[in-house]
Amino acid sequence: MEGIIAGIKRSAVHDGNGLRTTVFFKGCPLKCVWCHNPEGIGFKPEIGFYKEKCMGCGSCVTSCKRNAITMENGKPVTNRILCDGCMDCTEYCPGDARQAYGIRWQLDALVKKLLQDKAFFQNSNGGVTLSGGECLAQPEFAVALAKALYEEGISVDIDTCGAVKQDIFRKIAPYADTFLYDIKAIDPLVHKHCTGRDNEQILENLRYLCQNGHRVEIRYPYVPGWNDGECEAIGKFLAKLPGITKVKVLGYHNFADGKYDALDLPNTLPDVKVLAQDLNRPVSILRSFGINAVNGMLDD
Amino acid sequence: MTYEMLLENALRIDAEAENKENVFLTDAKIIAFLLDHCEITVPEESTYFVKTNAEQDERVLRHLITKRVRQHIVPATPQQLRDGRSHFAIYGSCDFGHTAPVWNNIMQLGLKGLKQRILDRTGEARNPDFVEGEILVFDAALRFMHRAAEEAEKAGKAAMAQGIRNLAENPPSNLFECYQMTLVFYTLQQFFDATDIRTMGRLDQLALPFYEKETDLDCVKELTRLYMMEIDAIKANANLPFAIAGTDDSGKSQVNAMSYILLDAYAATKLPNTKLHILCNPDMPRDFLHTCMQCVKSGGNSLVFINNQLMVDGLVKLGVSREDAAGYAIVGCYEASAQEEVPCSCASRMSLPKALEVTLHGGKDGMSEQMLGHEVPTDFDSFDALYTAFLANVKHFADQSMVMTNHYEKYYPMVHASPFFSACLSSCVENGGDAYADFAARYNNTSVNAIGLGTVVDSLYAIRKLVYEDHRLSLQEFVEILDNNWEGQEILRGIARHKLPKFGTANPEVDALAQDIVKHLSDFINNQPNAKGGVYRLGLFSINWRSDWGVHTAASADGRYKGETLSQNTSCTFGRDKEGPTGHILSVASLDGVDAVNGSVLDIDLHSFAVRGENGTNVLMATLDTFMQAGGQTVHYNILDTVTLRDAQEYPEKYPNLQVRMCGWNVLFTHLSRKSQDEFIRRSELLVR
Repeated sequence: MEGIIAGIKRSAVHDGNGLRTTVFFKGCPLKCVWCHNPEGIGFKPEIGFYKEKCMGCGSCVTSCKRNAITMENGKPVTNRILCDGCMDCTEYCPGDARQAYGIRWQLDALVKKLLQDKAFFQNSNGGVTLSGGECLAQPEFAVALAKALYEEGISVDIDTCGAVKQDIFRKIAPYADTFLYDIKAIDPLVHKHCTGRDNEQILENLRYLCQNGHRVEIRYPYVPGWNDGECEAIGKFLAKLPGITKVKVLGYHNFADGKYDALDLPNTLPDVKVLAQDLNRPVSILRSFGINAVNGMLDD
Repeated sequence: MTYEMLLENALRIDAEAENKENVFLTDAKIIAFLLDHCEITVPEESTYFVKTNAEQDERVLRHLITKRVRQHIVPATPQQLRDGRSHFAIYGSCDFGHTAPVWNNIMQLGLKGLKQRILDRTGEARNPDFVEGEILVFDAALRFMHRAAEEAEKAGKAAMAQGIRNLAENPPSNLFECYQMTLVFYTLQQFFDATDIRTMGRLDQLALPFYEKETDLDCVKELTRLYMMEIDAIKANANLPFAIAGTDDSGKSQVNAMSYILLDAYAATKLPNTKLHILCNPDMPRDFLHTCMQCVKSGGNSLVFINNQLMVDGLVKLGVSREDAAGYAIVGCYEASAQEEVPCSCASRMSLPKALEVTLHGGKDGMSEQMLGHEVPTDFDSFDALYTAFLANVKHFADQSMVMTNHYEKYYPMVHASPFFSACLSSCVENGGDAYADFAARYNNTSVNAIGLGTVVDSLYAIRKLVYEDHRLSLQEFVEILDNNWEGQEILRGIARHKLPKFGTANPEVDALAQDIVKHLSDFINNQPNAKGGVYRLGLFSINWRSDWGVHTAASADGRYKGETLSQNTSCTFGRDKEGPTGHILSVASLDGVDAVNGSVLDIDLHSFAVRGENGTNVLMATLDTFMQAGGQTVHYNILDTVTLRDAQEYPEKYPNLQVRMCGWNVLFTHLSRKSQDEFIRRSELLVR
């Protein structure tokens, strides 16, 4: 079985408890304007090109079997329609300017790779976090990976936007430790404005998880001008649900702009700034509903 | 008497000396003179002990050591050894700078007891002047103590004066005097013997019996805080460490109430010059380790964590009794020194990258073409043949560094004696001789540090892959490229730097190469006889030698330019830990730490945001646990801050792996736009706490 993985990050410390390895799945059903992992949006493997590191050597041009890369003004330009994501060019790039976003991993090989840090997981009560993109948008692979890790005694957290069929949650839940579940808005129009889709399925899935005894940590990305008016509605909605351990309010940043450039994607990042103290308001509103809310810029 | 007059008199006594073959009695006379005639001052901020002018500028006996080395050793040094040293392949010299006094003896006996032990000794002395010289210095020390007490009294320091008077008669009787005794002995050995003390010992064990007699905990804490301030104010060269935790003979954790009190005081005072060695074992209390990690997080970057069992086992393999090994301390930065051992931990060193450089140049230095190694062919038909020739040159450099050090050691009797240090070693008293001038300690050992492991492993791997596996170029072509310092070869250099597996990423093939080199180094160095009747010990740490020697090291196949610094300690080359700290930890832990008691050291850099909060502390503890469980020996952490981010912005190539996380989202710092980096730096300034 094969999964397409945008990246693997060992020594992750903010994606769940303890020391973890985060597996970023490729592809996401939502398209949040503030997305900080744009390499996880598309489902197909793609090249990230960091032009400031490029040495202009042309190795990538000669390595490409599909002639998808041409030199223009001393720098390579990738025709993303021709590129099939074979990643040969990344192998030959001496400046490390070409990043492979999307590697096809066989299940066994990926499990073996993740088990390299098993001792760290055990010593820190950590584990593996499946993230993305949206990990559950590759449902068979995500479930198989979670099951394989679970059988190795590894804690598996699922970092999800929730926009997938409920059946997938049913299948993965037996192997999941904690769901790190994004809530971006309650008002369906606001949600659609921010992410391109409404949130009926997302809220329904959250209700399902909570009502079936699963452990859920909510993440609320707080983006002024987009979803900052949703605090009360989120508080009201979450207050009714059992099983929510924590609501972490995440401060928006636009540090991903370099990645949008590298992927030739239009940069949709809102031009707003959030400081740690700006999160005090949403945190205190959520707390007024009896919710364990924390300022994600200060605490975990 | 002014410092100049003290020095003048010391030179006079030295010139009048009858026995030039052994300086023990001469040095004892000089030390006694210095103690009787030095000026004593009582700094306003001191709680425990006085200062003297014998310690200003160069210490008097240190001046004599330099003079004697120039007089006796330098002219007699063979040219071949000088060549090796001047081309930064090997180094051998004297080391009177790394000792761990037997603090237990000092605490139990006091000055008078140490003197009485010498008077009581029976049997023939190895040095016929031993008793006479020791009594000279101890009587002078006791007179000095009375002068010191008077000065303290005049300065209005009644408690200090009272303590000094008591210590002139008796061993310490309370915690104040225990701390005071360490500073008294430090002053006598460090400034009058001119033999550096590089650890205040296992202070929690030393202080425990006195702590148990104290009734006021606040008073204990305050005395400890003042003591920290006073040892830090010494501003000792490099640093003046102490050790806590460790185990008893049965391997059980020895963490006690004083361990916590010392750690808390250290954490609270945030001292810049004092290093703290944590001797770790698996049953060390978790709350103690938790406090250690809080200290690391707070910017107390001077904590070094040592795998206790590995150090004890390593010392035993070098012929040290288990009892003496169990009472070891760490001298200076990382070096284990058993009880009754003279480790000379920085006497000798050799360069691994230089051994490869000469192997690629028919035995000649790649920078100067001077013949330094074995004459070997300039081409090798297989990697194995190249590697075998490399190991032969590693052995050659190891041998040369030991030959050179032996050459220096033969002259120790004519160069330096250390009567106070020798008096605290039971073995020196039993044998009736000096630790240096008579090699009278139980273990008269010497250490060789092999430097640049990460650089040489990555270089060897690059040659194996590019020349012998991928046939991308011939060895001769590669050597020519290195001789031209990669000029016009940015693409190949980029591949060597970015596209090949590296040490520090837990790559089994690369790690195996590193393990094999360490195993051979151990065979070449450990237990080889030195000139003092002891043995050599392997170390793998590099201090600033890695940059000094790097300047004189040709370009290397890992992508390093000529003159750039070599890899640090046993860590990977800076920035090559592309799999993050866990990969780095697993690589370094895979090296044999038992056979490198002089230090096998991992440096982990973490961003302050990565270790914030309780989860961050938990994560730090887990990295330490895993490193030690996997057989790692020594580790310390650097928690990075905004300063580093600025440096990373200016020199991104140095920080390809720097992860910065403001909240739940991760960003790779070097992938950020300049604007974002600026903002991140500004925001990090706001958030650092």
